[in-house]
Amino acid sequence: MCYFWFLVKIHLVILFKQEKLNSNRLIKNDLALSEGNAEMAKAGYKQPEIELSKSISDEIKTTTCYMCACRCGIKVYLKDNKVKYIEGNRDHPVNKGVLCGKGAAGIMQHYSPARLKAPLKRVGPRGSGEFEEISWDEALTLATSWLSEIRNNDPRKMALFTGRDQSQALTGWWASQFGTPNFAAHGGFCSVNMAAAGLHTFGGSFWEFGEPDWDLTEYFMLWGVAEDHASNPIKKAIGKLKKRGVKITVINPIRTGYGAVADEWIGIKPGTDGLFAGALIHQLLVNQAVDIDYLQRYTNATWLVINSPGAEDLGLIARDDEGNPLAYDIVESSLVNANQKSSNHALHGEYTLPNGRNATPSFSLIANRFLSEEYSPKSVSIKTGVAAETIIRIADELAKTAFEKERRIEQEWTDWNGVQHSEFIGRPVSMHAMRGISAHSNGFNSCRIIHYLQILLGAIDCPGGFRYKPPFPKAVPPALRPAGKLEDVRPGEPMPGAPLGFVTSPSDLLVDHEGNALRIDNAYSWEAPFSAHGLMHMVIHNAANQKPYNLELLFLYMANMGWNSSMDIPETLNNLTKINPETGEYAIPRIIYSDAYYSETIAYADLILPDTTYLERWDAISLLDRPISEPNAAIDAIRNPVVKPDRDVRPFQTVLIELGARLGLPGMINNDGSPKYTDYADYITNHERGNGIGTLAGWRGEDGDQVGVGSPNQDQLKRYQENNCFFSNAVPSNARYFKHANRSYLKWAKSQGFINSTKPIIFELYNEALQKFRLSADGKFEPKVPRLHQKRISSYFDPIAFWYPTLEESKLNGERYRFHAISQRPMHMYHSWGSQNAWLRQISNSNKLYMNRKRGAELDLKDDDWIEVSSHIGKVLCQVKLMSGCQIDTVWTWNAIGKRAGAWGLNKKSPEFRKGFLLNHLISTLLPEKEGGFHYSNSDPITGQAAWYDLKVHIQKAKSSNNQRSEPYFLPIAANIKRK
Amino acid sequence: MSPAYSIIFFTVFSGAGYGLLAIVGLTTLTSLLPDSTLLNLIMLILSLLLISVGLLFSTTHLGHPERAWRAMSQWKTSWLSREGLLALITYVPALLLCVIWTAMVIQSFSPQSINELENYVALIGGVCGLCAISTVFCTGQIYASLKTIPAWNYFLTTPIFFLLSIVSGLLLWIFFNSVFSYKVNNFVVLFSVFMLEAAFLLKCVYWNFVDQVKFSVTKAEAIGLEKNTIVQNLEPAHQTQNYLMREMGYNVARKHALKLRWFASWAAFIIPGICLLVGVTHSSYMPINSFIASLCLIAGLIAERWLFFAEAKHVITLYY
Amino acid sequence: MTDLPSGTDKKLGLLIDLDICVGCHGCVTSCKEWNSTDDNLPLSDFDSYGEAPDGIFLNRVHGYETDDGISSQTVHFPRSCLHCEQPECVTVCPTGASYKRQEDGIVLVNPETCIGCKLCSWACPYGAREYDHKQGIMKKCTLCVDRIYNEELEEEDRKPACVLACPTSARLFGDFSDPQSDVSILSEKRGGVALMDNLGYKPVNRYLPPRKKHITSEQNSKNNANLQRFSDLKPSNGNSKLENFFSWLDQKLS
Ligand SMILES: Nc1nc2c(c(=O)[nH]1)N[C@H]1C(S)=C(S)[C@@H](COP(=O)(O)OP(=O)(O)OC[C@H]3O[C@@H](n4cnc5c(=O)[nH]c(N)nc54)[C@H](O)[C@@H]3O)O[C@H]1N2
Ligand SMILES: Nc1nc2c(c(=O)[nH]1)N[C@H]1C(S)=C(S)[C@@H](COP(=O)(O)OP(=O)(O)OC[C@H]3O[C@@H](n4cnc5c(=O)[nH]c(N)nc54)[C@H](O)[C@@H]3O)O[C@H]1N2
Ligand code: SF4
Ligand code: SF4
Ligand code: SF4
Ligand code: SF4
Ligand code: SF4
Ligand SMILES: [Mo]
Repeated sequence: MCYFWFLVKIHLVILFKQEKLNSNRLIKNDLALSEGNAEMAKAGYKQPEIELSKSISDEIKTTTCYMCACRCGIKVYLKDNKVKYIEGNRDHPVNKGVLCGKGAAGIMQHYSPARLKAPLKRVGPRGSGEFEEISWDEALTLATSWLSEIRNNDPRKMALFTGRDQSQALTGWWASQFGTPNFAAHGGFCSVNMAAAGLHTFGGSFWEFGEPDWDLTEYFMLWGVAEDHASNPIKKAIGKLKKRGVKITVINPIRTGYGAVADEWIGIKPGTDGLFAGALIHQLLVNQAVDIDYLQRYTNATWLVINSPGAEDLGLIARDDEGNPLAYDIVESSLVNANQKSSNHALHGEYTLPNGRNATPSFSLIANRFLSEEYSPKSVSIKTGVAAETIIRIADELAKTAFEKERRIEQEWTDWNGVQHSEFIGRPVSMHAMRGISAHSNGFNSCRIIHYLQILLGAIDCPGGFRYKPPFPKAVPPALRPAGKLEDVRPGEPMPGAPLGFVTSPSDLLVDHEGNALRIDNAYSWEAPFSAHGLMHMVIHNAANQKPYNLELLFLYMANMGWNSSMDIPETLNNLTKINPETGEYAIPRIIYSDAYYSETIAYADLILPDTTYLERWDAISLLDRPISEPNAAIDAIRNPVVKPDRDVRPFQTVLIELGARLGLPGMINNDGSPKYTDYADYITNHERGNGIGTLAGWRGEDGDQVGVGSPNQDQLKRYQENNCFFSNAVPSNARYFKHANRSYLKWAKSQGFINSTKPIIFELYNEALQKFRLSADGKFEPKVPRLHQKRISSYFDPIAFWYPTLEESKLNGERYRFHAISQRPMHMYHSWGSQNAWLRQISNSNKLYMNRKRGAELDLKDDDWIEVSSHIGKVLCQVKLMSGCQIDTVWTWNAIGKRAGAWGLNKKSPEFRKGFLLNHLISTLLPEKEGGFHYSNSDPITGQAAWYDLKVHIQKAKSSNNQRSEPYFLPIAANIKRK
Repeated sequence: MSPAYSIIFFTVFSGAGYGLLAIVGLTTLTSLLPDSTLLNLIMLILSLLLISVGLLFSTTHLGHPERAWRAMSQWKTSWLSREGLLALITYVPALLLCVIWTAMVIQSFSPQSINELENYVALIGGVCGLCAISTVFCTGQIYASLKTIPAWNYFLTTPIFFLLSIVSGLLLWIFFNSVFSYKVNNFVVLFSVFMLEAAFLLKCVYWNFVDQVKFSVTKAEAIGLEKNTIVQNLEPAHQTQNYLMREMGYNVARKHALKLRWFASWAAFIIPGICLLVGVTHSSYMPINSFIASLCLIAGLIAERWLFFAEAKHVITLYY
Repeated sequence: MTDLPSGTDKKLGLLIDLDICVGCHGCVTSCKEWNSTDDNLPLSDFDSYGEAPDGIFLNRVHGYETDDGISSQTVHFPRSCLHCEQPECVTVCPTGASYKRQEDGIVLVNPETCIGCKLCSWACPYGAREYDHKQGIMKKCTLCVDRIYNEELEEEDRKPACVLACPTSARLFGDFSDPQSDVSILSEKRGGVALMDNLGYKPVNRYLPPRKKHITSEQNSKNNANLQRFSDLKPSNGNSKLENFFSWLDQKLS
């Protein structure tokens, strides 16, 4: 009779008046008995006294978050050497204190059960998960022996591909010192279309190279963005814009996240943004709402383009003897150097060149294209799914904002021509775009059309417009050509330059005399001439199929290529385990991989180099790579170890440097052959890329008193630690706008080593380089396009941006594969990493295919019904969810939620395995059919950007829906590790 | 609401216990009190047993049963606290009565003092009955006062709890009387049948109400929008079930519920009624009939109680 | 104490702006994280790496689609304790473990005295209480009472974790009893809503409803009527769009 016992206890308690309580708990006193504080007692209300100032840490360290690539500043609270709490660092420029869903869950990432413990050597067949733990010395010795053999025979046979890497300045350099052109990082499968389109047009780009002038903009258009790399900055900015009542227009087939809060959502049909933007341009031209001054001052709109039909140099820029572009001065009625900017340069008309050819200002060609009926609001409306009236209204809103709400900042400045101005005058329309534009095979061109729109409105790097972040702008395109030509690659030798760069003419391509690709991923070949970042998504396919040649060793870092970052997973897994019948070995004989967790790719690697977590290592977020700058400051940052690893793992960069030293790579050893750097921290401090230019720009010079350029400073990292782990170098106030043509900026940027010359950066609306390729396809330019590729090059290499339907769609029968299938990043998950996180996976652990409610009804589908989704290469079985905010011909899902059974330290019944799926299973590596005898990859024909979002699918209700599991389901790859 | 077995057994058993206790206690005030003190004592002990077993079940529902004593402190506002307090208080007269009747049964007091004690039996019995009734009333009120669950926040909730408890007590009382070969007054039996069927009627009204009851707020209002806005789920806050969904989001299939109602109706209300009526006409069947009636009632009430929870929708389901 | 204080000196609470919440879950995990710093009483997780991962969160964000008959919208809705003025979660509590603080109106659970009867969670219409079956006690948003007065934190950081984390500033913290506070002013201005007010709990937290985002066809046509305003040129009959444009260019340049 428990109540008797209670009764006894009550008496006891009353007798002793106090129950003994655990003093370190939140609530100190027993409620029933405490008097509360005196005041409360007075009022006759009793409440417990609680501890209001609990202490949470012994120590707080600052560093930089890496739960995603946004790189926010964080403060890490440590107690008993354990991570207790992570908060946003108020003093950090990226996030100014805020934190996203992933960042705050970083603790669970750090303490994830999926973390690797020691180096592993594969002992079972690939994919079996059978490994043996080995020592670091053994691992490094093995890796060195594999690598050195290749280096001494044919360095090309080693490919170093790094995914979410943020130390490309190191990894790229390492690859070129090794001597292989086969280096790429995540850009190729990510958003090289954006980078390339921007850098080939105005020397900057969306992505991380610029951002809207959030404080001054009056109109914001967001194209195809779910989350982006600038996760927190965009969110902060959207909050601000909303408070200021600035209109936000979101162009996206799906209305979630940013689209949910936007003032207007334009549910566009995937792949048609170029057309929509083109129609806006059409309408601006019709309304004569174009900033003519801006065009004349900053762009090549006035440059004369040779247009005599049939001419050998048709479409090239007319130049004088010194190679200066020509313009026509309408006041002087003569041809002049177009670089001597004047407002008298003609923008249309036809002029005769001294050699008798006709030439016309490039702008005239552009106006011609966009004023054609093809781009009229009416004719694009069916293809884009956007009503003509809406297009007309948006164009009007843009024009009104740009031309009636000018933003002026009083500030004296001098343009590159030496002309003094008393203020910066800006057109406050700003835009940002990302993978919804780039992940299509017409992304390069679509993005260029969006840049046209910005430029016609005069809205780049002006108050209220889209602003560059230093080190951008750079020359159009940046003055860096890819190394890796036949003569660049020699056994045992480094390459003469960096593997990645920008192509300006067919002669820059990396092809052999027959026109075959020299890189394993076909980057910079006729398949993808402008592939500024390489074609990461093609490396496994090409190497396994020995096209263009075979690899001896694939070295991967931080890329889950056995799963969510490859196309066609079933095929990819086949390729990873494919046997070369000639050798009886795997077609890709060796795979070395560095990951920090037991990801899907681990099971397919032969040697695993386990990395630390972001809280355990040094990292440099360098101006040589992808910095965290802001428009008003060049900013770089570091990560520093806030806790020591509790296991046998090492920072990959340190391992890479040690491998370099073991291999004797130049730059990584001293004259006596001893290692030059003890670890990555040492490298960051002491490595110099150019004269006085190193990984980090802050506190250079022996005493740390130099900025940007200066000799190494042994205290540099300490100074960063003292300064919240970043360094900010403010752009002088007269250099903050019109950076591309601002004398003070250009001088300052040169002094910081960002650019080589103080020449202005002229926007290339008309891209002569593209025309050279076209001429080459016509046999009028050297080297000539091999026959195989002629049709493709002449169709897609247009000097003026244009819209064409995405490639998969145009090759498939539109009837059967009726839906566009795309994915979005969930704000609280980072690709594959999030699922091991005990907190984040409670929010999402499975995914469904979302579909427009009306279409769902037509197909007789209800929420949670099982459906079959098929593409031209495969089938997925999953559940459906209906919604309203989804373009009617589009289906979509969250990216990378589906996981392979056995991975990520998850129990085998986890929903990620059973109710999760990837669209990747349906995305083909190659286009549906050969074209002109060549089987092209599923990529943008200009840049080689992976066309993830071109996918078209057919959907039907699954036959039976009892107890279903999503499919394809792959055999578990659970780790089976022999411990030391 | 999730039908937790701890609470179902608690309310059914202690409900029956308090019902029996109430009858035993209140009969001391009347001429219906069986002559056999032993019988009264047995019934009293049985009621206390039922109550205590029920209470024990209820403590298994607690996260910290060792702190259960604290639940007595908030009688000013909390029906649960009042219930706990009354449950505890009820033990006082009940045990006193127990002591007295035990003493009388084993005649350990002198006849004179027994007589004196008898004078108090009615008083103590009365108090005991009142306490028992009040406890059940509080139990009903715990549910009836929750605005968050409109199926419970209904004027019949407490009366039904109350009636069912009394009816359970009556049936047990009849059973014990007849087992101990005491002829139960037909009036009492008929009264019990009447109460039983009244409870059935109310329960039917209640079920009818539950079928129609709606939240006084809409999903739109739950998230701060205008009343008539249609709101549909897009992204759940979490993808696997959590406490809120398990506890508050319990959903019983209509078909399943109807089957259970049918079972509860027969087991709790129809069969016991028939048994008792047969017992009236054929009094020799009464012991066995009242035994069957009581068993059926308990089984039926378990089903009824399960439904009481399972069919009640909590307003937070609007969010899910 | 189960009794409610006759009034509270302040009414501290959150103002949540549904117009700018993008549903990022920053507030969700930062809340989880802050409230798990106490090793003795972290917010428990169950089956973290298994089939049905589950755990205690004091704040969760739902995603909805709404339709008011004119247009449809997507709305993200963060849900945590509203620190009601008439919190029946408190009055039903049999132990007094649930109480409302007199000085600031914060509703708390005393983990030392809670018996885990769960009744308070039944009484809360907002789903703000989650039962921690590992610890056998009820958990709820504390309005970060251990931050907002915490002298170990810098002044600026004495705000709820979720408020500090929220990247869009969709969450504001303040005193609703002070008509001059930011939260009162903004709530007044934007028509802050007390959720399900008719239940009588008198929530302190307010939600700013999302603005209507529908673009009417009148707006479309009104704008269309204004179209020619950027043109200095009288529409020249019969000319093509291109000719029109070029003649405007000529005008501009000459
Ligand atoms: N939380 C989180 N943040 C991340 C990542 C992550 O995994 N999680 N990943 C990081 C990485 S690597 C990258 S590359 C960035 C990418 O960041 P985002 O560019 O935001 O990438 P996606 O999620 O692919 O979003 C693409 C958006 O474009 C839309 N879309 C698809 N096709 C079209 C189209 O044809 N037209 C238009 N207008 N829209 C279209 C999709 O609906 C989706 O909303 O995010 C980075 N940030
Ligand atoms: N269907 C579809 N597919 C896509 C996309 C899409 O939108 N839709 N997006 C594409 C894009 S833009 C991208 S960028 C790719 C992203 O795909 P991946 O680059 O493959 O990105 P993650 O899945 O994040 O995998 C990175 C790997 O890094 C590991 N890792 C995490 N932290 C560390 C660390 O500290 N050290 C080391 N060494 N390893 C670590 C993780 O465990 C994981 O295995 O996916 C692409 N794939
Ligand atoms: S956005 Fe989030 S995950 Fe990414 S760096 Fe910032 S806080 Fe970390
Ligand atoms: S929201 Fe719920 S838990 Fe919070 S005070 Fe109100 S009733 Fe209580
Ligand atoms: S669970 Fe705890 S706080 Fe809630 S009512 Fe019961 S004793 Fe009170
Ligand atoms: S105020 Fe504190 S406890 Fe409440 S939801 Fe925000 S972070 Fe969580
Ligand atoms: S952190 Fe802010 S924007 Fe993100 S879900 Fe929470 S309230 Fe919404
Ligand atoms: Mo990416």
